Amino acid sequence: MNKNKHKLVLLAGITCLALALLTAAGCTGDPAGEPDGARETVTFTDSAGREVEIPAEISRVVPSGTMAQIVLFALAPDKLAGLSERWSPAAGEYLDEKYRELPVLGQFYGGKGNHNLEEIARVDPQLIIDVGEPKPSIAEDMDGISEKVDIPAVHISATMETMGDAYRTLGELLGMADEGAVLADYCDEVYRRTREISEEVGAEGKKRLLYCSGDNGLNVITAGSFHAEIVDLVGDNVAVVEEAAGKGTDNPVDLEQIALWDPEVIIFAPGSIYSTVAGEKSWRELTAVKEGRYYEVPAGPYNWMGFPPSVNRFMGMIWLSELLYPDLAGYDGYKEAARYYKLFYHCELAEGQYRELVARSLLKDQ
Amino acid sequence: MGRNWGNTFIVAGLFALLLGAVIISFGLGRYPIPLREVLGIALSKIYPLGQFWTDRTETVLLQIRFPRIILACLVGACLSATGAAYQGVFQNPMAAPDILGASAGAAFGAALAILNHGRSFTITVSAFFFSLLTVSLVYFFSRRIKGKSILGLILSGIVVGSLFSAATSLVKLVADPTDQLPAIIYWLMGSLAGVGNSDIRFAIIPMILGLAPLLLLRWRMNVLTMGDDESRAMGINVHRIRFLVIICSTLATAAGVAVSGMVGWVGLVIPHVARKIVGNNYLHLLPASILCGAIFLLLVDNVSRNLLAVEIPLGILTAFIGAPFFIYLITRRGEYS
Repeated sequence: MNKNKHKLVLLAGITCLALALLTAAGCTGDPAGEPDGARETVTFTDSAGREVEIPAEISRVVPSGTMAQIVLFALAPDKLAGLSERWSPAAGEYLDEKYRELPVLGQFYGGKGNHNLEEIARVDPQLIIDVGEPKPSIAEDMDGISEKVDIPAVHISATMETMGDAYRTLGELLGMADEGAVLADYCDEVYRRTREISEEVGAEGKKRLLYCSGDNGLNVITAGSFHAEIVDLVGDNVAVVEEAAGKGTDNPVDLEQIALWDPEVIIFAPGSIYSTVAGEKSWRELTAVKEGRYYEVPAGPYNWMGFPPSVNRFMGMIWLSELLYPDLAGYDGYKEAARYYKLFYHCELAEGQYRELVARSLLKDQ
Repeated sequence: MGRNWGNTFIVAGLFALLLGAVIISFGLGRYPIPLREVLGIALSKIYPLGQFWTDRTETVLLQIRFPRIILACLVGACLSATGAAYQGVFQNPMAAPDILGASAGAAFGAALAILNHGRSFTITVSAFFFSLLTVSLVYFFSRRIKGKSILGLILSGIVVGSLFSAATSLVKLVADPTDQLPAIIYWLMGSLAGVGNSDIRFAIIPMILGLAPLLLLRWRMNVLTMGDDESRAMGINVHRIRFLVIICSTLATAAGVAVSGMVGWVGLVIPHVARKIVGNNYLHLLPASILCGAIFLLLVDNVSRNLLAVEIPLGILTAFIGAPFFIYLITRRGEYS
């Protein structure tokens, strides 16, 4: 009995200590900004068909995920009040310091994520913006967030094809129609040009291409998946698998299967086995490796081919077209990259940086 | 008799501790709300009161913090109670709520719903029903295994559970890696991030339907711990009681796991903590397990939502806290040797 009492006292003590520590940790800092009060609002209809009351003038937004983060950063970097994910370490080279210090709020995934709703409320944005493929659950998901934090949330549908429209909508939403139009035209133009190149090459002329990732290079992006859009459009993706085997990326295959596909060109994801593949007995026999037609996707701050599949992919379209069909595409690699980095990352890309980025692809043989 | 009164006192003390923890938890969060405003908002629900807080504050308190605190307590209580009950009816100190595949089934149900673009409520419902389905399958197969019924149950639990785990892996394989796969992984790590009042409304009924009969069966559980033959000798229908305990535990576990995802260790560790505090008599062990489970998960969830700006999944924290604590418990002199 006496022993039990001691245990109870100990337990109570630990509990109190833990709670006290948490109080100290949890109550530091005040909510950012003043409540907006009765400011003017307008009704906005988002891509999910929801009518949302939003402030007429918007100066503070947070993205719902990394996809939205990259899209919004290009349009309105100074309106971002928080990030869903810390910028990649490589971003230090390109992005202004002030953007790297924004609070990180986590990503929203529909079911559970790592977004902290109270932290979002504390950062106090005027609007939460989701950008991406429309999902069946999106209306309810957006309503759910809105209801819990008392901050309007909108969904803007965007795919590779409709990114231009998404930027026009976002420009209108954030009172930045001109800036939105510039980005929209850029996306439309690059997508159109990529399609043109693809059509000129024709189904017959397309290079048989494989995208490999993973630390043994044995994961591939399968044809028809969302992430394979560029690979499928610009090249002839040899990774055709049955539906049941799994669609997506990072589908594990074995080298025998890759040998069977026998791609003309292999592109490796950043950090995969590009640098060691020539020394690997098993890979050396593949046509693409033997003939030196294997490359590494440039990355900085994001992988040009996707991951996340956001606007970084427009740079990927230019890159892949130039890599596979240089005569037809006729891009000036540095000029295009510098333009892209100026528009989407708001930085001046030095020629040295560009050469570093494409040293293992466009400039490989130089 | 003296010991019993002492234990009753301890259970009452734990209840008071839980109440205190709940009240303090309402004052904790990334969004700073002074305790004065917390009390004001609470009072205004029963007594008309001039509003001296912002609408945002009230929304955050009632839509984010309230459901989380309540669900942390409920889920902790359910997992811990079913752990204690299973440890008794399986006569096995290593039994945990997922021993009959309840968690593996729920994980598969959730993953399947995420793969099919389910909304968050669909994910919860799917997890719940797949959890029930898995345990039904386990029970069905175990009835066809000859010999010891406990062994049969545990074996078919392992088999069916690993079957559903494999199915979950298959879903992960075909899921979209930038969107669905992380959603599934976060679900499997367990978290109360993003739960709302609708989750309480969904989970509370099966939880009560599970916990209340368990509390009423306490005395019979005491008998079951002595072994099947002894229980029969005392005139107890072993199969029927075990069946009842399994049904109730499954309801409570399924409802808990459906809203929280996979939260391990609570069901295994907390009953042992409760044993240390009140002893092995289910009369007090079960209430003590319920209360300790609720307190524990509430505290861990407080850490989860306060420590960093992004959420730390609950399942990770319970393992980091639970595993060392468990080692401490079993290596302390004597008791399990």
